[in-house]
Amino acid sequence: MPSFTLQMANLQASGPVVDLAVAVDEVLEKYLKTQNQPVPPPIIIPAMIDTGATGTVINPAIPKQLNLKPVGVTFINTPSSTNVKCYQYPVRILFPHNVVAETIAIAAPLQGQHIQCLIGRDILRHGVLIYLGYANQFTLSF
Amino acid sequence: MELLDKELATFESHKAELIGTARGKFALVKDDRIVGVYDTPNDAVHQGYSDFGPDAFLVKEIVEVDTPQNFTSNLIAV
Repeated sequence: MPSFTLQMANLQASGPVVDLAVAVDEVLEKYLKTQNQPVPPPIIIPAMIDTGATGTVINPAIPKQLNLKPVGVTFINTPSSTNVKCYQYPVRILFPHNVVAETIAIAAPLQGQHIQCLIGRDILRHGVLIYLGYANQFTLSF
Repeated sequence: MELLDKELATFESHKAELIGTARGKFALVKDDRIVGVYDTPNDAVHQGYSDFGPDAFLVKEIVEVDTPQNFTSNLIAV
């Protein structure tokens, strides 16, 4: 079972944060290669695993950098807003240790700190998340 | 006109028929055409990339009412 475990200095303070890469969908990558078009390189960003998120969210700058066009529209509710229209983009999430997940992420601005992505329950539903608070450690397996 | 507005209008115009035949599946829509219906969103996306490359297309779940996605985190700035 592919998995990764991260040890944090203070898991309660930082939350389950992981540096990961966001890349274009595998089928799009193959298409671009067959057309001799450049494949945008993956973008490495800090992400937080968020069990309070229905879906995975990426900063809107990321699909722009990957030259992605939207494939969907969804509406989101947050603590401060309801029914906000957002575009959706297919992406590959490359976690440490070659753990890979494909999803259709929501583009929405993220504020504060440095987090550029929330890993939501659309990805977590395929895996096992172990939050070992007393050891400042978490594991994600698929 | 915003991105995917045309595809959303196409989906709406075929929605009743799609709900009758493929409720819960995912429609792939390009311009004014329903390209196909697929079991998963990823299947529809992969077909879309195979057919249209990096161009915009719409993948839409075939349901009567769309359910908003919920976020408890205040990290989202909207």
